[in-house]
Amino acid sequence: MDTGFLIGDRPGSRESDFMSWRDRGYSYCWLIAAIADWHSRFDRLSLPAGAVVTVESDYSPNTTALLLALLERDAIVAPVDRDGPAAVAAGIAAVAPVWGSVGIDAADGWTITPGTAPQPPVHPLIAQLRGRGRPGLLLLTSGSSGRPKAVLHDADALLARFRQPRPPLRMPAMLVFEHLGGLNTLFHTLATGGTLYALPDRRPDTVCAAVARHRIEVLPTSPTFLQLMLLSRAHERHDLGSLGLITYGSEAMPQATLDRLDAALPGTRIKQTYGLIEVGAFPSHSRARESLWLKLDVEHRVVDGVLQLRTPAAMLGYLNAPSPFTADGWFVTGDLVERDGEYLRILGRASDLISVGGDKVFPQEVEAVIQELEWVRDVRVYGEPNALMGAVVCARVRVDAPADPRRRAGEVKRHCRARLPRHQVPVKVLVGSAGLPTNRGKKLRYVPPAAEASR
Amino acid sequence: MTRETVILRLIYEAIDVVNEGLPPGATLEKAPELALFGAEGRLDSLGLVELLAETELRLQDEFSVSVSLVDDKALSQRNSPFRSVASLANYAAEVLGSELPGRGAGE
Repeated sequence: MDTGFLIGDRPGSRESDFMSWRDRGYSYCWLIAAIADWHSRFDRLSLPAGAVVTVESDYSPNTTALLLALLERDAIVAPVDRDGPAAVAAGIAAVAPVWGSVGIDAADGWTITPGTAPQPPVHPLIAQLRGRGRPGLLLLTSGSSGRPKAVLHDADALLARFRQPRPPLRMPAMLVFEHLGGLNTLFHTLATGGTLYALPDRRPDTVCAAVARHRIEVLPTSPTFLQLMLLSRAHERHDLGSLGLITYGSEAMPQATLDRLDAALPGTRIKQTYGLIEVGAFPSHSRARESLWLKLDVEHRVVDGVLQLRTPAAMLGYLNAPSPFTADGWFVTGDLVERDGEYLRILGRASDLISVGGDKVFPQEVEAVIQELEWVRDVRVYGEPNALMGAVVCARVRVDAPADPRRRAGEVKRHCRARLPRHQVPVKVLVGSAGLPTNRGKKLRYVPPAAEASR
Repeated sequence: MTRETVILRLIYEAIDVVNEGLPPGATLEKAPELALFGAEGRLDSLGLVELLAETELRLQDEFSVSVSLVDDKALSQRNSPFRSVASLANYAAEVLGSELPGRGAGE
């Protein structure tokens, strides 16, 4: 794939910085040289076109060069957050024959580890992509059953929308590396010849200080972050005058938060984006800046209250799950929507996934960890609506004799803290001897309270 | 014991639970003036959510009413109730007061 449109392939932009990392700028010239270095490394290792390569990293200059080199070589790239759960890399290796894994460490140094045998067979969709001679992007999502799904994209088709020239922008890297939303920010910044600001953490004060210091223009973020920013009042401690646009997506936005944001930053445009790991993100227009109604710039229809989309940027399919496309090529999003003329309002996911501040939690994974405690007879993990984080993880644990339930609850938490990423640890644990619903109860699972959010 | 004293004790119990998940140098002191969230705040969002959840559970056990400390009312106050242990205790007393209209503060 030709990546010229992503590396400052326009007059006068190559001297400018594509990234600011640890307070040092890295220019598009630097990027082009670093991509060439990766090519010589891969040449020496005879990396074949179409190979599946996992990249375990976070946003950094060298990671950007690596991603672009792999795309240029028509590899299938699987980005994995370096600090995330090990299950993600294992999930990739279970569905695709991994040629190798490139790890980028915190100092931006690299190691290459060959893939291990036995490997799964080549999926027909991978074969199809290789046949087209196109690079791929392989990401993990989840289904209503809680098992992560492996999404295979034709990277050329996914990134095609960035070929259209746009003015350069300064943006912070707000979203996690392995999320499509985060990669979208990176590619969007590169395509405009803009600058991405890598942040040491994503606390409101850190982000607002970076906006003030670097005169950042666009903040692509989530309702949870905006909620936390307003609550901590970080926006009052830093000058956000440079911020022309805030975009939010990935979870339901409470109307009350949107109203407060509207009042707190009167000079900034606020826009809802809509995107899914299976179809990418695309332009949308909010009816008004304080409105949750939006118009999608993509072919769409609503069937039985559920949004369906048709776009050339859609994934090729899942490697480990049935096709979510209709016979005539529409992608069934699973998002319930309400319609008013050409405007739509997203009501929430029709699934049992828990979204803690936009981070996904599969109830079954947490239940499996709690079941490791020998005195646990049964457990149900569910989400409880939370005004701050959207939802929080809670657990009901059944024991034979409820001696000192609070001490038992403490043990459950300690065990989960040792075994799970922080956002997956239940904040509320209820221990008792009462039976739990035997069907994997829908009534216990959390449905996002988006229907309430707009009142 | 006044209701205020009980609430403070319950918040301190919740702090004990949160502290178990924090690295040794970062544990919270049990003091009314301790800053929780916002400027100088010692907790991040997940830490705050856990502290509030543990406090809610204890308030429910102690006073036998369902209490929610995180709602739009709490989030929309000009001065966040989650600034400090003292402001959280005040807010919890206020929420309890509206749930237990018949009972006085000094019982």
